[in-house]
Amino acid sequence: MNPYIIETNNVTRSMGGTVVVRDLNLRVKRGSIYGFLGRNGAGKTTTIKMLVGLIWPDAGTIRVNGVEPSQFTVEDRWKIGYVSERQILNPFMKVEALLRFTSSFYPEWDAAVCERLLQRFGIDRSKRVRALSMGMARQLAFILAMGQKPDLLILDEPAANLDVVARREFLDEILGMLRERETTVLLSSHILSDIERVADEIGIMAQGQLRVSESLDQLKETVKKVRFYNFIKGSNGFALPEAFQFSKTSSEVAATFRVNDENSLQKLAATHGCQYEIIPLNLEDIFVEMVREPKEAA
Amino acid sequence: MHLNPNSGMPIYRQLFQQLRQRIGSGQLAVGDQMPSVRELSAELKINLLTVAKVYQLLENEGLVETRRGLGTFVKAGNETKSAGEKRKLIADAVTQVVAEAQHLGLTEEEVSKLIHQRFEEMKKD
Amino acid sequence: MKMATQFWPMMKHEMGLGQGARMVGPASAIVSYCFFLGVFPWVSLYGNYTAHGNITAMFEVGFLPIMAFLFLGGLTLWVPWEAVPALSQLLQLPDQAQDTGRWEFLFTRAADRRTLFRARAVTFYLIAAAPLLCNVVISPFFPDLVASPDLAMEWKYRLAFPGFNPGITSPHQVGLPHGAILFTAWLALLATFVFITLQSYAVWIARRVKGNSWWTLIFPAAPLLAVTLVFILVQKRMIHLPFNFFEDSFLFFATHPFTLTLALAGLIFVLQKWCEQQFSRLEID
Repeated sequence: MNPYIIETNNVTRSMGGTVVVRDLNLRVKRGSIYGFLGRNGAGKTTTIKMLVGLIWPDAGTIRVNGVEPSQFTVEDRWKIGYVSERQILNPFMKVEALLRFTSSFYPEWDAAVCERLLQRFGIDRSKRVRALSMGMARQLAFILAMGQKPDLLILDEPAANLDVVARREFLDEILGMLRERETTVLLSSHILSDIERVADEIGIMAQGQLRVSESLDQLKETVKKVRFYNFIKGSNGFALPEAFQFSKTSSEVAATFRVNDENSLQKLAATHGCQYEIIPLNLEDIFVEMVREPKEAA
Repeated sequence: MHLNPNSGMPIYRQLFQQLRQRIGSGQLAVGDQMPSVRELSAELKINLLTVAKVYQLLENEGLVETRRGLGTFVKAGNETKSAGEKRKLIADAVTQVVAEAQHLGLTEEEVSKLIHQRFEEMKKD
Repeated sequence: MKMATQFWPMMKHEMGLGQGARMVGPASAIVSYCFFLGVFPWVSLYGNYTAHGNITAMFEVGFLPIMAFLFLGGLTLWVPWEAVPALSQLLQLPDQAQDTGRWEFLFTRAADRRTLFRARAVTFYLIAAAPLLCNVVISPFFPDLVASPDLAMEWKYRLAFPGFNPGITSPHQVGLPHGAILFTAWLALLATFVFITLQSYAVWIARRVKGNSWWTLIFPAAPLLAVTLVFILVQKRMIHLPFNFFEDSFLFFATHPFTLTLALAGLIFVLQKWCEQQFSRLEID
């Protein structure tokens, strides 16, 4: 079986005349929780919409579970759950009716999971959707996607409008799903501490392209901020073209880059006659360092 | 066990160090059964794959063994490590101490003195 | 299998059954529309005449163009926007975003898009044409119609109504056997034709019209604008049609009722299939 449940090859798509996604090669392994990050307008939502077959790429190919999303049949959709960024459910429907209506599309509907989650999130079945709070409506959308027993769950900003407690519960459910069914989850969120808690793979998009796609562990172990100081003869000659961020003063250099082993770092410091200090970065720091416009200080 | 997902150190490393320390200190005794990967990931609310990775690392280090169908157990014979292996195990912690010391501007003698003091305290206990 | 199992839940969903009043807002508009379209033909046919409805008066008074505009205008304001998500994005109103969001939900479930479109189309058709269809059902219980055609038209009436019976009440009036049935059926047929062509047009432009500038609104409104323009030009006698649209088409239908009904059924079959196919390939953004 193909180890990747999502595979895109050089996907390009423009919206309203501007290229939003450019030559995207996204690979998501089966059974992983993939944290999909990017600033607003980086092309995340457009990519996600292409993955679920709402829009099509201008160029390139996409395979989700082996199928091009524009060719999805009803059967292909049975196993792909999706909660959209602006999920809007029919406001006039009662929760109960919406569950029944949605379940009518799926032969293997998991009513037990729905029941458990409704109780956990405290959603009243007899209420109408419009009577639910924004957060609860999103939780309901999540429940509807869980009910279909997905192999792949695509969540676009699922935690928006949820408070801290609700978010923790929600993340716990995602982790639980992976334990029980080996569901693959693609999760986009602005709340990086959430992603950091659950994701094992990270993809960072910027300007329509994938800057990084690797395991969170590797990212944290290799991407470091290093401060070089105590230069013997000033920091003038110091340059690191491969750095994500680089700033230099006469006495100090700070750079964010990949440190694959510390020996090379020692050598680097030795050649420039300086000392160095490694500052570990968490996901939020790494994200900011990677998507911020590269700074070239004098 | 305390894990901080939002630190710069990957969760798997935090968990690995903590488990290794527990095995080393005897909190987890030889022959004890480790919680299953599922149980531990549910308890700590972290990714299943992370726990699996840590168990694999522990097994590679010879600290635990997986008995097919039974689970994971703390392995006998940790005590009989070669001196080289032991040194390797402590190297990480030393590196961290040294880095911290540099950061704080402590000299080598000062750090050595601290370590010596701690050894003396341990002997008294 | 998909069609069969999904159609009824979707119909129920579209009709708003079991989910409360989805139509509460526009309810008064719908009631007025139904009343006008359903009751007014009878009032104008039988209201002014004691025994028989005079159809010639109907053609002369200009009631039919008003009805046609009401119907076409209603459909133009409603069907393209509601049936085709891409069109509703042209208008960036808050509830349009709501509507698109709901489409997005359905488009990303394991819902067959063709079935979905069929359920929507049937719902719209039933609501739009319900008064006309009701009229066809009750028409056998109404008295037959009469006509008072001038000499130029009389032979056409003879052709359309073989049992044509001159001079029932006066020398100028002629009875039309099954007139009420044929008249209401003709109205319903015309409305159905307009509905299916307008719907096809909406689907056709939905895949082609992009962008959000105000002038794109012209596309959905184009049929209504075109018809209005023709109507004005005819009124101003700037163009001359070689036939009287309403009267001649009624007589043509009365001559070939079954053939035309079958032809329309065939047209619906083809266009509906085409619409469903096009709709299933729409993007929702």
